[in-house]
Amino acid sequence: MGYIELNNVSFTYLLAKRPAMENVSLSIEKGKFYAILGANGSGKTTLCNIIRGFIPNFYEGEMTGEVMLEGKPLKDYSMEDLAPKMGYVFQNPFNQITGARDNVFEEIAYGLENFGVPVDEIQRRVERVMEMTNTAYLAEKNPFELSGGQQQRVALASILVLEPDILVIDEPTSQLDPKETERVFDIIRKMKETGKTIILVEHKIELVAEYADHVIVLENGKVIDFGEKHEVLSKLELQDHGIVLPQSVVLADKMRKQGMEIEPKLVTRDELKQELQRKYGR
Amino acid sequence: MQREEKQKNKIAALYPMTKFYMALVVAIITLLLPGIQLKAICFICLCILAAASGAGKVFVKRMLKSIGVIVLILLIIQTLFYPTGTPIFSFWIFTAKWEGLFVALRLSLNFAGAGGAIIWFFSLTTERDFVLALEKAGMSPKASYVVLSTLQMIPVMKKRSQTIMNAQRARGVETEGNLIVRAKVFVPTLVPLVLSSIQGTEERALTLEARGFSVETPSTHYYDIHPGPMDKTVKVLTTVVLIIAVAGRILLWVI
Repeated sequence: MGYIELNNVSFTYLLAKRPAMENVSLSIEKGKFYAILGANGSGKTTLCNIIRGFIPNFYEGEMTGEVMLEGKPLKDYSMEDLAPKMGYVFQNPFNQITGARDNVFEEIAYGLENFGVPVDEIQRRVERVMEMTNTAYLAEKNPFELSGGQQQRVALASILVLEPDILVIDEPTSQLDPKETERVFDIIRKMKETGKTIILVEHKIELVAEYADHVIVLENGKVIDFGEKHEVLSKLELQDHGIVLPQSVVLADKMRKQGMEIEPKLVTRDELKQELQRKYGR
Repeated sequence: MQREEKQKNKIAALYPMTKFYMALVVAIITLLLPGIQLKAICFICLCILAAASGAGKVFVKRMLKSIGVIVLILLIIQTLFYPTGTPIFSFWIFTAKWEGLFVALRLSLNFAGAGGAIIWFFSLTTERDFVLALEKAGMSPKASYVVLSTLQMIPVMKKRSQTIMNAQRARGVETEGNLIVRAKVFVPTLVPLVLSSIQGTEERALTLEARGFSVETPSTHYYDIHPGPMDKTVKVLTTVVLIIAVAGRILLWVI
């Protein structure tokens, strides 16, 4: 049994004509990094909300199937139990500013305050996470006065500081520049190294190919592919479903068509580079 | 290391509830005492208190902007339109009367004393300190969140409405001009503002949930405030002043 299990989960939002999620079955292992891919409206955020338990607790609609966490039905967990266990970073950074605090330091500390963490530990944890997310220089600023990218980093920091076992992150880099995007992925990698389970929605395919362990591909609320990243991302037919594949996969395919012998399932630039060096010495 | 901001001024540094109690007592005494002279003395005391607490400039500015306008209207209306009494001067169809002036002065001093006390309190105390003090006094954290987030959201909404106005202007909607033109722009501005706010509220509620907002564990406060040694003395002195004023009022009433 997986760490998180979805068994035939379907969900239709209230007043919606068709289900946003249909017969989804997934098994998520502890300590692994899962990337969710799919076109807009394919159900990525809905899947995240189901895993986090916001569906059906907050969003009204009809849900069938079952979600299990550590062998126990998710519906048996209270929101209080889930909050420290499963962190959720939402898509829109502006709506993740609580409005309860007037500076970034305390905004990040807000969750820890709610959990009754002693003040000395709050100080230590917030400083560490601010260093990690490059938000230390924003400490005294009002969170509402930050740019979208800065708010996105603050939102991520606010969840990381809670040190949850599972991180569900919905497009955390949509407003970040390439340097900050790399930094966020580096943070996620470090989180994974400490045994956290990561579930990430992301469109930046090159980074997904580099960092993720497993990939879930959604289309119209259905899982059309799920597996180890090399297996999934090397499938050229995914392009027909609106998925942009890593450049290395597309390039390797073109090289093969030109008669070059390239091993299959090379999804990162480094993997392709090494293959070319090994076979052609350049 | 807990964050606690230190004020240099001893009155300003008092615990919010102490300052609130002082403001409340000033307001009660002003309303309680009879006669224009006594009310005027109360108001002068309040002005001295504001100056002594280092908030003189802010106090005067806010008083002029709010109470000043009310006082001016009261003086004009009461003095000129009081039905009967001794005339001070007349012009055109108006006759200013002493009785009207006294009524206006008494009402104005009530406003200035009671309203001024609240203005003085908020000139010295941040909303955040006040809400935190209320929370420590037993107010629900949910209520304190509502107050603080609402205060924080006001400038944000203002900024957002400006952005929507600019977006509508870019789409050719007329936003400048006479009252009718401005009224017409009200709907295309207000609808997206309200809808986006409602949409944001849902996600913000989930954000709060993700940060343990409904957790029953007693929360800690990274930024905290505590009553100082002066607070007890000030509270006792304020209570003494209140008792003297109430006793004096009863005495005057009996005599």
